[in-house]
Amino acid sequence: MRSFALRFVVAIAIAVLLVILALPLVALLVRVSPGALWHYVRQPIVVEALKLSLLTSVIATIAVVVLGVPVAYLLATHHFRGKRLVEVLVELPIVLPPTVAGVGLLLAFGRAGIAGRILSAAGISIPFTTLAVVIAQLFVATPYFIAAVVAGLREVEPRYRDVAMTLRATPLHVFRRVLLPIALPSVLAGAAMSWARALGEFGATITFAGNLMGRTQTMPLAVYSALQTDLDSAVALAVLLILFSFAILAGLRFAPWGAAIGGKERNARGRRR
Amino acid sequence: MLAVAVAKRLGEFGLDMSFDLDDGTTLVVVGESGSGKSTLLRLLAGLQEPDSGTITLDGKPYFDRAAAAHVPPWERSIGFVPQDYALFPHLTVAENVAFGLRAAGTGDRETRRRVMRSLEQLGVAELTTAYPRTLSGGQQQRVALARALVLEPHLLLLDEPMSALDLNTRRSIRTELRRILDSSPCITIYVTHAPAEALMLGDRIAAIEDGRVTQIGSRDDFLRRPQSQYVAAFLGVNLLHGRIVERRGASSEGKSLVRVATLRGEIWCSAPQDDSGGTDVTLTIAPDVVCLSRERPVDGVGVNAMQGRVIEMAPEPPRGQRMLVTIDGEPVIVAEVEREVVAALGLRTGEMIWASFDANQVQCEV
Repeated sequence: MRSFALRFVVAIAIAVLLVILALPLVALLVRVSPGALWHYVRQPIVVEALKLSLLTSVIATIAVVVLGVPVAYLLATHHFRGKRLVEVLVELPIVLPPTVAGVGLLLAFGRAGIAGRILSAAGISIPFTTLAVVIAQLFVATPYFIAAVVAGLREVEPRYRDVAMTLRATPLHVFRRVLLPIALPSVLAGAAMSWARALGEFGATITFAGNLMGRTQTMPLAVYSALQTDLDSAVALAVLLILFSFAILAGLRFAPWGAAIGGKERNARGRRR
Repeated sequence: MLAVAVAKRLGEFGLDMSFDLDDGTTLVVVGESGSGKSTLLRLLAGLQEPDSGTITLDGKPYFDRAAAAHVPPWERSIGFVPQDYALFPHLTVAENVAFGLRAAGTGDRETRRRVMRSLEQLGVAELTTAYPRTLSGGQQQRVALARALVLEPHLLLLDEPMSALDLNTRRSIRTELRRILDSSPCITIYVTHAPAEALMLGDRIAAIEDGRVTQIGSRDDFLRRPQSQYVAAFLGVNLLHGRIVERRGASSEGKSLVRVATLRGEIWCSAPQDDSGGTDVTLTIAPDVVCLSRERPVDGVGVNAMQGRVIEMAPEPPRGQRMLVTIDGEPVIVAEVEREVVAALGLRTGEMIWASFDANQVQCEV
């Protein structure tokens, strides 16, 4: 009796979630034929947005990796006063509404902003430029990378670090030659997640960088713009984005190192040998 | 030469040890888990810092609280083989062994030459391109040793290097390890809780109990004069302290029969003639000389018998043909007898039994 009730609840939950999560995807996919998709993909608005999206998201991801690795190392291996606070701050962009992030960026780097005033005195203006798009993406994508790498580095057993240090290796050498290579799957997974997040970034970008075709209009912004005038091209763009995101996530799961993101158990088994 | 005098507090646990070791010596450190063996190795390796004291290797101060000196691990001339070897999983055998040389900035050609020589010395040269996960426990151990020894350290630290191996591998590798340690000029500190390894590999043995060295000395010292109940139990001998209450004439080899009062009653043994007048003695009785019987053995001069309840029976070695029977009391008495004896007596735990042994089978040390 109880097991019947349980099965009923689970079935209802699955059905509701399927409708909410999967139906929109299906609706988008059945709306366009491959031929129509190809037609829209060659529209200037789409081509420009696609180019800009790739450019900015790749630059943002590289920046996330370069800046994120040292911070992740610090958080994973050192204890210091206020560490909890730093961890919360680093995670904050995950839960923050992106528009709030955009307003914050505007107040920091805008013409009258804290850092913006100094920059504009030097003749540099960031808002509503391609650089602003990258910064907005960096802001929202960094936490995913750091979380993945911190977890990955913490999984590396301390005994490797200990024994490496007794083998004439300085902490920097230990990090480069032992910790980072062993945690590489997590680093790659974190980078891919960040890239996907940067690619899909909308709220912070439109607030901080605006919606200028060819300069700040990335794919998600183009979808939004197209929706105002031409539903079909919006749908085509949306399908394109779905295919992209799907490819990234599938790559994560099925790549040789893909288990790092979904399968901790595989790592654990590997360790026990 | 290594000179150690360190203290370290870790919560409830306190470590406080000092000892010196000459060049080329192998010190085997024995102690129960939690006694501070691994902490000692970590302090020597520089992975943890003592609260106070000094560590000096070949005249070079590695740690000196008074002079605020703490040489980091990577600048110490040490080799460290942790309990399950910790071979780097992302590197091949050759790359593992080359790791230290590369970190020290040794040139490519020199590195390759020394890696090959080291792997050959340890008999694992054919594994060069293998990854650690494909190696057996014994092979991993050799590679870990090669990785440490290739740097020609002055101090080699081995943390229970046999514990990850099965019994048969252990037996075959022990002799081999003795040869390797003998051929390398470094000081070796070898942590274990296997008596056989301690007796076979240790030029000197140190017993650690609760963060302190309770006995340090040669193999013979340990076998003839175990200084604590733990050491006696560890080596598998019975240990009794007592006082001579009667001497009976001289026997042939300068020994006389004496009666000793101990916690387990009076015990006859033959003691060396002693003019110093000392009466405090330590008796050791090997478990295999103790006989078991249901009936009280016939009384007489030179026959020792004591009764007690059997509290444990265990095969020795595990799955072996002999049984270790532990008889209750303060201290307990351990007898090692053939399985058939136990069967013939129909012995079960909880039953009363007589243990007896001859006076001339008792080692007596003044």
